[in-house]
Amino acid sequence: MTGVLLAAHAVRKAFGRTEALRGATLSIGDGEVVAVTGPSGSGKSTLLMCLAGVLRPEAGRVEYGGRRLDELSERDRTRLRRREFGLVLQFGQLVPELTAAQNVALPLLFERHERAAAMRSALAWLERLGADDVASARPGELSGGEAQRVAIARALVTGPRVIFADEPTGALDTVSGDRVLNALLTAARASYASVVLVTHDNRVAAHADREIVLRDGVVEPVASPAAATP
Amino acid sequence: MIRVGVTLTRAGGWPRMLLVGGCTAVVTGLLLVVVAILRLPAEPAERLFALVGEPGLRGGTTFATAMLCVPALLLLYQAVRLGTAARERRLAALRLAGATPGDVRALGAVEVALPASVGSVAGIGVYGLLRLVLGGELAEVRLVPTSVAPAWWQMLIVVVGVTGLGVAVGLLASRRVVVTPLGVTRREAPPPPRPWGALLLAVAAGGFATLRTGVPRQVAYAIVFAAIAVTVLGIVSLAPWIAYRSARYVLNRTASPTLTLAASRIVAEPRPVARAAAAVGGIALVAGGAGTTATPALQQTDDPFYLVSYLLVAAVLLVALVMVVGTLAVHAAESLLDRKRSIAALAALGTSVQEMERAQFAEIALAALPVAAAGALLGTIALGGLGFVTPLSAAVQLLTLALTLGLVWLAIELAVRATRPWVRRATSVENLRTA
Repeated sequence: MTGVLLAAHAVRKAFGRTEALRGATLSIGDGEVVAVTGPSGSGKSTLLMCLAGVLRPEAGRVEYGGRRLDELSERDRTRLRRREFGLVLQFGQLVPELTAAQNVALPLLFERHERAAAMRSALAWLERLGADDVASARPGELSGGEAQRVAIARALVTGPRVIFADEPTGALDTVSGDRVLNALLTAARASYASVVLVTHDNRVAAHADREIVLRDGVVEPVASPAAATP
Repeated sequence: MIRVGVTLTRAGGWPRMLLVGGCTAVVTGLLLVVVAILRLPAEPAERLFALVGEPGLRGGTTFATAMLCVPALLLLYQAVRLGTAARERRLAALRLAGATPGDVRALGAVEVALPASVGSVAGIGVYGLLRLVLGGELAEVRLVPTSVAPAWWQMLIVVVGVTGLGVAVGLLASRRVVVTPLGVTRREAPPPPRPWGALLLAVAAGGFATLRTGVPRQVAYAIVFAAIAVTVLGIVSLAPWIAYRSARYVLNRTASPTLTLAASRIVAEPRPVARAAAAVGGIALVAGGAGTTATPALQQTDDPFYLVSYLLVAAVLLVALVMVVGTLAVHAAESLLDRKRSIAALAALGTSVQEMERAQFAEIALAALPVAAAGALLGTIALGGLGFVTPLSAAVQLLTLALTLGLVWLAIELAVRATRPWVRRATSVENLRTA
């Protein structure tokens, strides 16, 4: 692992009376792929959302590139997410009215890129992920695997430094899931992006450089899968 | 069945019930005013404003009052659709519990009938209030008769009729939905809208053209009212096509992400937003017509009748526009709840709430502003064709067009601001975890 890019220190987050995170601490290196695993309700997704700056923790610190993410305004966190982070969710969550290519181009349009250039980048990413044949299809016409490839392209099109993936293969069959995961990790590694991968599936976690187990809102570090292999 | 219906109505939430009840109350109140005006003798016992008091002008006044029901009914249509997703889940659960498709349709009707019937009865109170405010001693310009009132059986017909109308609108709003025990499916989306409304406009143009052939005065009045009604229907029917074409035009050219989002929503489903914006076309049509005729009419005479009449038209249009704000706000809220998953994902990806609001504004504006412009131009052409155009009136017409579009812009702004809590709710992280 090179230098620490993203870190959480004693992060706490509650929803009403339910404490989702009770002092989670972890760090993620530049270009590192980290899997966050744990049982249902252990706070995996909440941790991911805190690290991505979508949620603001009630206590503790989240640092990105040496900056306090939790102290940034909503506006600054939004800008940071748009420019530096990519997000892939379990169900793709694409905009249903836009074509696949338009969905991928959307983050670039928000960054004031020229329309033609944004569409060219979108098509290039779709081609790279093997989804160029569905570029003009709408999300409703895509299979689960195709929709996830489009979502990955959307997450990568801005050249993010960190990709957050919340159960990206959770709604897919094994074969489609493997393809989507390979596409995500290959593209992320080629772009030198770090990946935070939330999953409950050990097969998925095995693809990561390092695994972090979360239980009852607290991180339990374990040995890396690579290190455990003789 | 009624008990289940009551439970479902309550589960639908108070905002929906209040909106449905409020709309039917307004429609009932207005129709009772119409009945009261129609019951007036040739020589009324009281001193009413000439638009109501003079038998020759009453037809137009009752027509205009009845037309004011159109924006209220469009708001009712939107209100019925409020909370659609949650209601459909409840109905699917009932199907799973053994309810037949007929039972589900009946329950859907009961859900609307209950608040609609309460609203219709409350409409008698609205009529009483209008009578007090616009017909009593306090009123400077008396518009509602107090010497006559609708008979009890006429009230009953109006109340039952408006309740039935509410139920019919409710059934119309859910006609494309098929509820099965495993959930809700929608019948195949209809093809892009076609400009069939233009046929109605052609019919109306034909009506206006016959006025040049020297028809008797009473027939001419009937033709004018019929032609105006058909023109309003025409612009309302054309609204989806206008919205679709304007969105397609923008989608093929814009690099703005908010416009891309807004236009793509309309292209995918032009009818909901166009229905919400359709009343704007009717309002602009009347505004355009009034702007065309106002200057020559006011120049010809010092009689305050004309000035008061035009001020009344302006007041009525503003009331209608307020109802349109409600319709647009309800549409916007429902649209946000429908799309909450993709909106939450966009927020997580770095789209700000302000950008979401701009997309919401653009979606309504792309439909409403062209419809308003078309309405105002049609109103101007329809009455301008009768020979009312002078250099001064042309300037007033342009001012009317600008003012109409400005007020529509303001109406959209108010509607989007009213839905700000729904935007926040739609961007919630919770929405990311649902299928």
